[in-house]
Parts: sequence; C-alpha cells; structure tokens
Amino acid sequence: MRNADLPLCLYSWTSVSRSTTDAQPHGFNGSFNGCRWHLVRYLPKIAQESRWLGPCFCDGMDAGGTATTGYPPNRKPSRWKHEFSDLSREENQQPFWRQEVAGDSPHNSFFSAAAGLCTLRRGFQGATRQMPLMRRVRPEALDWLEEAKADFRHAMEAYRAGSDNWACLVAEQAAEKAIKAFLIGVLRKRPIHTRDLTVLHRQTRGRLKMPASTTNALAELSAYCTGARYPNSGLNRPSLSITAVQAGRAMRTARGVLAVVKRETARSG
Amino acid sequence: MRSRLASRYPDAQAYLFGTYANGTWLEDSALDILLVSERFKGQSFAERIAEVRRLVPSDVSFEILAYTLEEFERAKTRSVVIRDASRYWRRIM
Repeated sequence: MRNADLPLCLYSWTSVSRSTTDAQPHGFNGSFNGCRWHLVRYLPKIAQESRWLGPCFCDGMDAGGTATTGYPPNRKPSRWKHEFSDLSREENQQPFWRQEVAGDSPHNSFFSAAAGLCTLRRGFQGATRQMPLMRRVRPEALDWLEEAKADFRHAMEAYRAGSDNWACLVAEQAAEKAIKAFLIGVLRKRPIHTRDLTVLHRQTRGRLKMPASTTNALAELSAYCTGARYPNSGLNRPSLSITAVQAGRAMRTARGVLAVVKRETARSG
Repeated sequence: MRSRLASRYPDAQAYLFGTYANGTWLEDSALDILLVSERFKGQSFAERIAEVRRLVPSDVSFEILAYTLEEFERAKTRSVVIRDASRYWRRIM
C-alpha cells in the first residue's frame, strides 16, 4: 500500500464528503496497486452513508460512538486509518452494495478515470494527511523563553545591587515572557494581548502546573508592571517605597515560573 | 465581582475608568478600576493590588489602583491619570 496512491478524491468529486481518506472503505477498497481502482456500484447509497463520515474526518482519528451503524466493529471509521493495511482482508465482510464492481462495467471505467485524475491532483495532499503530525517548538517560543531568562538575570543583578523596584519590574517581565513562551511553545496558543499574569496563567488552563504559593503570588508580581515604574500609580516613588522583602518575593515567584516553563518546554521537545 | 469586593471592603468606593468607561475599549483592553478603602492602610501598593486581583474574575485583564481615602484625595490633585479619569469615570460601588 502506498500512501500517495490513496484514492482520495472520489468523495470530494461527488460532493458528498470532505472525508476522502475516511470515505475510503466505503467508496472503494484499498487493495489496489498503482492505478488499479475498485469502485462500488451504489454511489447514492454511499452518499447517504457519508453523512456520518464528515464528523469522523473533522475529529481526526476519533469518530465518536455514533458512526458505526451497520459496520463490523473492526471497521469503525475511527480505527480505519490504523487498519488501512488490513482492508483487503476485510472486504468480504462488506454489505452487498459496498462490494467492489467486478469486471469492466461502465461504472468502473468512468469512476476509475475520474478518481485517478483527482488523485494525481491531490495525491500529495492526501499523502501528507497520512503522516503523523510533526511537533517542533516554534523558534518564537524559544525567543520568548530566552528573553525571560535574560530578564531574570537582569532582575538578579538589580536585586544584588539594591535596586529593588527594578528587580521587581524585571522579575515581572521574566515571568510574563516565560508564560507566553509556554503558551506558544507548549500549548501552541497565541497569548492574549495582556500583561496581567493572572489572565495569562488562566489561559494555560491549568497546564502550567506551579506550586500554589507561586500561583497566588502572580497577582502581586503583576502589580509591579506599572507600580514599580511610575511614581504616580502608587503615589510614592517606587525606588524608595519598594522594599528588599518585596523584591525577594518577586524574584522567587519569577524563578518559580521560569523553572516550570523551562522544564515543560524541554519536555515538549 | 461587586459583591465580593463589597464584602471584603464594605467601606469601598469603586470607579471604572479607562477605555471601558469612555467607550473606546478593544476586546483585549484591560478593565481599569480604582478602589478606595481604609482597609488598605498598612499594605504596600502591590499587596493591595494582589488582594483585589484575587477577588475579581481571572479571565479578564485588570489594571487596578487601590488607595486609602487620604491617598485618594492626594491622588486627585497629584496624579495625572486620576485627574484625567475623574472627568469621565463611573462610580460602580
């Protein structure tokens, strides 16, 4: 069986389903070689049945429980992609109207030609559908993570130098960038346009598992984004009012976030 | 949100300002709220904000200002942000 030869397009061509690969066992079987095609006789019946083929394509490998009416358990669409190589052995289990057309009937030659043309056009596309999804971390996510690390280094330097407000501000930046790196790199989501760490953390939907103390401290860390910079929001000069204790807390929170994100990013490859 | 704030800060005044108050918000705009309560006394600015942040929905971005009464009066004259906001803000509590 060659993936590129999958008879992909008959169903598209008959406008009954986008589910060309999942439609395969019902439209014609997979036991062909090269350009030899086997078609079934009763296309209207296939069209009727294909109403439930759509969802199983949309859901990828999982068709849900309702899509098996009239089919042997081992021919469920959800399992079909796994079992494609076994199709030729199972074809005798099909109802009569799904049996392949024998000989040189007009149906066979006409539909063979049409399906062959469509396959030539879309064969490559179909072949890629059969491949497992490649998963790589986006370079953009690594940029966010590296910037988070760089910010944390700056925060550490500021903390050691006694610039507590600056340490708080940059620690906030480090945590914000780390969470965005996690969202992009691990969860494959676009981060919400916000600096609110609580909202960003919520966007991870619990996938960024941090100690409760770190999660609770995000709200305070988030406040430093403006409070550690501007003298008018807190009504005091941040460089005088923010203490080393606060900076220490901010550093611990940022370090906690960064550690989890680094670990999860490494784990996701 | 209001009930939770009211139960934690019974004496609070709360104002909505920024884009949601003047109608120019975007979908991802933050809600700007200003809370005035005597309960903030003795807390750092970041601690106040963190405390309020935990009481409001976590799926919406917030920019929070939290003052005591005395600080609020001072902010009205001193802070450009508050002075501007006071022209159009809406009291929500």
